[in-house]
Amino acid sequence: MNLFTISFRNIQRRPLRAVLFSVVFIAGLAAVVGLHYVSIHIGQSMEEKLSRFGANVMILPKENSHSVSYGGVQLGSLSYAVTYLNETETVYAVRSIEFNKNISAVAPKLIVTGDYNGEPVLLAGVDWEQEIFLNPAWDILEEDIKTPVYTIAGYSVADRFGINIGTDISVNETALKVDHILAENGDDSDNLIFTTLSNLQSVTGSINKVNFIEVAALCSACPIDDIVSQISANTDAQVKALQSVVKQRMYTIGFVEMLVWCIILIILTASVLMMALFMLSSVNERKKEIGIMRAVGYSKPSIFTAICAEAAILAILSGIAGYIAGYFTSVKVLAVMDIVINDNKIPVEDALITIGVALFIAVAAAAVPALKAARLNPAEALSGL
Amino acid sequence: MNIITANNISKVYGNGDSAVKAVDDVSLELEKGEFLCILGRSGSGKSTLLNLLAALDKPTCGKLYFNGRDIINISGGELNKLRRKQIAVIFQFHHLLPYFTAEENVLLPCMNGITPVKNEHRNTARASLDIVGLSGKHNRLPNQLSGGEQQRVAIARAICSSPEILFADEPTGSLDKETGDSIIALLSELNKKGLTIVMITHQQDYAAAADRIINMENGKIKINSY
Repeated sequence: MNLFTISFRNIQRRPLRAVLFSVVFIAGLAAVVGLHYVSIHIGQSMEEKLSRFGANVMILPKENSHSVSYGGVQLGSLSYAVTYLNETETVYAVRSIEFNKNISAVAPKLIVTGDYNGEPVLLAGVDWEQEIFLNPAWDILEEDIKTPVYTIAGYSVADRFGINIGTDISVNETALKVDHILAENGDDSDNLIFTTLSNLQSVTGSINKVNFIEVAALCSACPIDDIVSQISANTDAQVKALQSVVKQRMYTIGFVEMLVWCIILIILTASVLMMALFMLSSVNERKKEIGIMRAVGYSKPSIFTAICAEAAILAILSGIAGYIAGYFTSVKVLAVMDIVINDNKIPVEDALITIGVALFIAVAAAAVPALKAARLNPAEALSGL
Repeated sequence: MNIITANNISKVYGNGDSAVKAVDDVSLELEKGEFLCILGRSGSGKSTLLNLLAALDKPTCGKLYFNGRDIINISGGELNKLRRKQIAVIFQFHHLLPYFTAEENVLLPCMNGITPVKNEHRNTARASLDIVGLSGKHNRLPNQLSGGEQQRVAIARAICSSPEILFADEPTGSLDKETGDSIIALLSELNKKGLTIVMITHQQDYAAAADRIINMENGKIKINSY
């Protein structure tokens, strides 16, 4: 038996009150934990979906040209020589970074000019699997891209030159048969002819060479700058983040997270106030007890500790229950929303943080009532009878 | 030797026009082993004086000594130690913690920290309960005890630390005559064993047990008789 026995026994003495209080606190903590997990997974899910609408990192060969403009008019670039990236090495450099789980697509591209009826046309050699990931709006079927050579023409280039399905495009005297015409997308893809990268490399004698690589990276768990610097460390190529794309995506995800944090803050504030009121009423009810404790020699810190310990005991129990309830609620909610959680293990660290936060809230809320109790004059407390 | 010396102590509640002098310029000396009874009407300042003498409250002015030591300008830690070891108080209402057994209530002053209560304290607590006639009722909760027994537990709690002085504020106030008589007999017995007692009562016949009686009126001592 010691000072904490008083706290334990006082909780046991009013079980219904302790249970009611705990239920409300558990509900608050469960809501916070649940919302937090749901927001994280929704953010990740949103980003995965957003990353399918284009790359946010570009990998280019080291600059050996500089753009020329005069009087605000862009006059193009002065190129000294066309340089290429080594496809295998650069793709490996991207895939092997520390944050490789954040890389959702690596799409290498080789750009060459071809010929159709004496007119030059621009061809892009692409890794179809990666390209389809970055362009989910393209009206092509997954089974079509599995053929050894698959060639499609953008809407505008097909319209302008009268290219149809079955038309041959000549590249280095090799004919590439157009398999599909894309619907109008309103972007650069309308003006290009896309074909299988390995075939184009072979036809042009550019084995393992690409002009640039587009990367779609998920940035919710780490800043894009970290991903860029990690890729840069693995390769000599230029690595650039498409900041506007990144910012737009992060703003969307950040907005959802901010909204959730606002709700969490409101719930936590309500919990602090509720706990403070609970402890204040407990102190007011126990004035006599506190008075007698002071009269038999209890110090102010002892009274303060006994009151805070009571709040802490309830907070630890509520923290454990609240975390478990919140976690499993979030799992159910995410299942309803059809969002898959990759890691099903209960994160122990998060549980400890939740208990810690609950403890902090409880002690912070109990501090003022406990201070009031500690400052009670025994004579005044006992004369109130 | 005086255990308590009060020189011109006053206690004023409120200020300005609404100020009330509950104790007005009282001087008092109390010898070790003395049994002092304070009589007076309600509102005469008896309880306020007892609170001041028992170091539960501080006087607005005056000097107050316990065993020659100034207890007005004493540190908080020293005051708590004094309350825990040397000064004991019992009240009209027993003030037992309802969730503790009789023995645990007696041990209450020993639970003032994170160190667990020692076995020697438990033995002393049981011995105190035996002294007040509650052998075999150590494990009963307050609501399983009669009013007189509850007051005996409060007395056991008070004497458990072997204090030098016991202040009793109307200890028989809420008890019937027979039970009240037994409490007074118990206090007299403790006094005979050397415990200094200061008791407030409304009943003249209980005052007869005391060595000295003081009568209070309007915060002042009117009669001081041996």
